Amino acid sequence: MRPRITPDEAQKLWNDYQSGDMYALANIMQAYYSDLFHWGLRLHGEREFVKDCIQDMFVNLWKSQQSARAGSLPAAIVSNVRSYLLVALKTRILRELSKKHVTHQSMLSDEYSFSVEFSSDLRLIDEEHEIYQVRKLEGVLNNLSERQKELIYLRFYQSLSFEQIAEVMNLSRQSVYNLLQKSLGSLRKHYDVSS
Amino acid sequence: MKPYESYTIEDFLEDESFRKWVQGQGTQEIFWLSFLEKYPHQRDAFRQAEALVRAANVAEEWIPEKEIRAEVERFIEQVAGAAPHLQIGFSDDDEEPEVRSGFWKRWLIAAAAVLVLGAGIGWYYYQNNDLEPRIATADTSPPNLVTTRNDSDKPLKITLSDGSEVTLSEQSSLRYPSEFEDGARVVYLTGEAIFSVKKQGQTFMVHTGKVVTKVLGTRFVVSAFDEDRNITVQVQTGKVSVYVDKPSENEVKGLIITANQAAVFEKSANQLSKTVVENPEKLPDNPVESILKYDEVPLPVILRDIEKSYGIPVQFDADSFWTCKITVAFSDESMYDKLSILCKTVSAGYEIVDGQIVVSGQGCSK
Repeated sequence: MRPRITPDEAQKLWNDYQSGDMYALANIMQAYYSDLFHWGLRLHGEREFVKDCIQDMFVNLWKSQQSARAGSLPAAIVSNVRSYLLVALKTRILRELSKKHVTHQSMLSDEYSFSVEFSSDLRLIDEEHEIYQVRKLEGVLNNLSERQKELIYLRFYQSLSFEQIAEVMNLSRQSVYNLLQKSLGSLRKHYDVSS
Repeated sequence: MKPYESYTIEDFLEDESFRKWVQGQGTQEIFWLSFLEKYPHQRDAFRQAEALVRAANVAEEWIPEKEIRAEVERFIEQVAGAAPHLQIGFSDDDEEPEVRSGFWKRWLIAAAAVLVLGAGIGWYYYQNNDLEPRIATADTSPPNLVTTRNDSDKPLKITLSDGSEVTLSEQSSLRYPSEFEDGARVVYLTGEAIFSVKKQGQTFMVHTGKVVTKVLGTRFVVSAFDEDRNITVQVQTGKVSVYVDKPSENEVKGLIITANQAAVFEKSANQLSKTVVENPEKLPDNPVESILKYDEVPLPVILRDIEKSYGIPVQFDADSFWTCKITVAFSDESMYDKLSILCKTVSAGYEIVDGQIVVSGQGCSK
């Protein structure tokens, strides 16, 4: 995985963007593009669709900044740029999808699909039985519920803190913790500690 | 200090430093390697969290840098309504996925981690501490240690009990157990040797004085000459981790070094630092052609090519150098020659900092 820009660098760019620097926003887009793209594909697997959603999201961010500066809208206060963008992209994708599939009820926030395939990183393991354990865990991970997988994905692929995961999944921190407990419970059943 | 004593799996999972260490990007290598010695009762939680991080890996959905740039330009066109001249402040990441995936591919094949552990235990260290390391290691090393010394003028081949082969250079000696026991495979080297390590359960470690090299690949060279004051580990391809044995409070812990990087341990100062090897070689499967002609090309683009060719990170301010357009043809100049030529052209300078090349200068006016 490529190194990311630091949250401080991102925050600085974000401030520049909010004071009207278009290139700062373009830099943010460039820096986080592959993270956002990867995240978007988990929510809906069409590349072009995801790219369009990312594009629209950034154009919208720029417009809302202009409105904020014109005084018609409050400026968005953002504590972490990356998780803010992940939330914004998710919202946009789910909204676009609900438009696409003409349903009468609005999409419930916990009914979206999330697809990810875990495949163990075995690079740094030497021990035969450890490889076996990890492979087995991988199987269990892939059989978790979509919400549980989303949590694991956000923690380990996007390296969000539990706090930020709560924000992105629109859950309380306690619910994130409970969800994690539940996932660990099913993992534990399959992990043979004695070996 | 965090309450490691009572860490739960969840705490390990939330700990950024732990996660990074498991994923091989950590800076606290030593701490986590010795964690279970300090907190043996935490074994289960630690192992489970570790296995979980490994299992939770997700393949990267690769999107070419070009495609990203096109999208960013599309964005700028939309909001500015004009064709932009893009200033990329974080182009540091340019093409990185390519370099990385290439790197990992090599590492997975683990065909040949070639490393030179140069320059020695040094007279400085030995003159002052001659007895100390022996006594110290005698306590911890297995009792059945064999010492082989090569006093001939030809390299000497030794086969270890695990099937690994060691070619011991002249005037060098290797101490190793006649049988490796459970746990890590550990050998002690004075002088120089080439190791072909059998891929196997336990980690393979080479101790040279205060420095330990942990093998993450399979074939490498370790050399240690008495005249030198530094212990140097150089990696040509692959990946090794180098650390100071039993570091005291304010000593540097450990480093992971990759292609064309070197770790230098300065014995007098007890300093372990990262630098770049003396003669960087192009990576065997680098994507950049060997003869390169640039015609009015922005400096950042050329610097990225150098980065890709040698696998060494190059840091610079893309904004200020973007307007420097360069026309040059490279063939077989060394990496440093290329950098000198480029820097002279734009009145810039470069230095090696922490295993990376840092280019700085005023940039060019349009």
